[in-house]
Amino acid sequence: MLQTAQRADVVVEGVTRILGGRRVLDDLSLTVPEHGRVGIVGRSGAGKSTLLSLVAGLDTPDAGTISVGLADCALMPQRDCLLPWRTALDNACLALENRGVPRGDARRTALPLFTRLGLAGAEELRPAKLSGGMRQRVAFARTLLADKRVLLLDEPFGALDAITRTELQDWLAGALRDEPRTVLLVTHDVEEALLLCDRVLVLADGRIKADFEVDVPRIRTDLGFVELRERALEAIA
Amino acid sequence: MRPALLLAALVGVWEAVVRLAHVQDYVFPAPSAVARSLYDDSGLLGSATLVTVREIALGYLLAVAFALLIAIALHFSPALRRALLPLLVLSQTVPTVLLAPILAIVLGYGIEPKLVVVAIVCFFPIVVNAVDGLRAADPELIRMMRTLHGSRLAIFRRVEFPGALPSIFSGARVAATYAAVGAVFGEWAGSSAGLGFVILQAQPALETARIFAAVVVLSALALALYGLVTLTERILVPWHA
Repeated sequence: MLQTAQRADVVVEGVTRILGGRRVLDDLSLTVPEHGRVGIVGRSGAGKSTLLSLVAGLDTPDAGTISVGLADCALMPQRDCLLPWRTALDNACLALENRGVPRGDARRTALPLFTRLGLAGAEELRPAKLSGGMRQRVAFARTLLADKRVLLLDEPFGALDAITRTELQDWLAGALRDEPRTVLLVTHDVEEALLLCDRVLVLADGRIKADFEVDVPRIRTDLGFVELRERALEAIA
Repeated sequence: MRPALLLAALVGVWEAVVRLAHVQDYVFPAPSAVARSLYDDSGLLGSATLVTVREIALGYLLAVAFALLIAIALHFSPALRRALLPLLVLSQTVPTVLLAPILAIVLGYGIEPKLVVVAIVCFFPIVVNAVDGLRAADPELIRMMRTLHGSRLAIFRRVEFPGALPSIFSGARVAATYAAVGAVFGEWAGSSAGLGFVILQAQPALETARIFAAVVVLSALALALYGLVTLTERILVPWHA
């Protein structure tokens, strides 16, 4: 397979995490190849966010190893987490400024990305003036500009209405085609995972319960796609 | 507009009651007598106001600077916070009125003891609100910053401090209303100028209208400081308005 030929970028090996006496993750292993996109789906409480926190290096596992950490991963949280006191462009520049890049240089670096991500014209607006979809785009720009190998997306569109959500899923699929990164996406939306990822894992009770290769056209109405979505939904239920 | 109307009505009632009951000016002056004193004694009140304004302004700035320094130190050291914060609360039980004479003995009769009294009175509301505001930072924002190369200092500068500004300003606004009273206490403990001194001198002379006139000026000063702080907040915290 193509995947085995690629270098594994994220390796999670036998990871267990116990929170409040419960095994939230139980001897879990997975790999994400370089520039591969793996989606984790599951019900709420399945351990999805715990897994992302561990991979991001914000939390440590009780057992097992993870090949990446804080230095390698940028996390896009469920809420956009934009700073209300910064303009859209300055929010996107956060990682650059944190690394010591002067503000003017950071803004010049971020500007072309704003155009590519469909944010032209919104640069000087504060988050309160942006729509939910725009805010999520700025959050994605901010995550990309952290310039890390691995993007961790935690329910990136969970807070959006259905129409904006569909629109942004297509937009993100395009953006990831233009800016290939290693992606670990966590969502409860099976369709979202199938649209954005090449592999979708079903997480239940802290273990991988099913593993789907997305080898069908990524079109919501395609028969193969619909059938794969049904199989994945059955695995969750 | 409504508070102004209510105030005008109250002043009107006050004037009417004093006139109808034939109360002597030295017992309880009518608003018109206070207004006359404001005009007649404008030279005396003017120079006294300059002295008191200086005490209020410098003492208040001293309070803001110290409160922010201490709040930041407490924020970065939880051990220090656990040790010092209860003591700061305890210190508030000591009446400032009693501290003022001691400060006059220790620091003399110049401007210094007045600044310290104003600063002590204003310090507490700012420091407490600042500490609370800094601690109230959204943990999710901090997690996000950590994955974006955010050092401890970057998290403070870019997330915690700006996020605490509205809280710091609400403390600063409360403190602004205390500053004028602090200056008067300071002057009462030993001074030869200022609005507090004017009040102290007018009392044995039964110049009651002048006392009221000085109080009116003091209220106006407190209000002006409050307005200035609110204006500064509008400029520095535009996302919160």
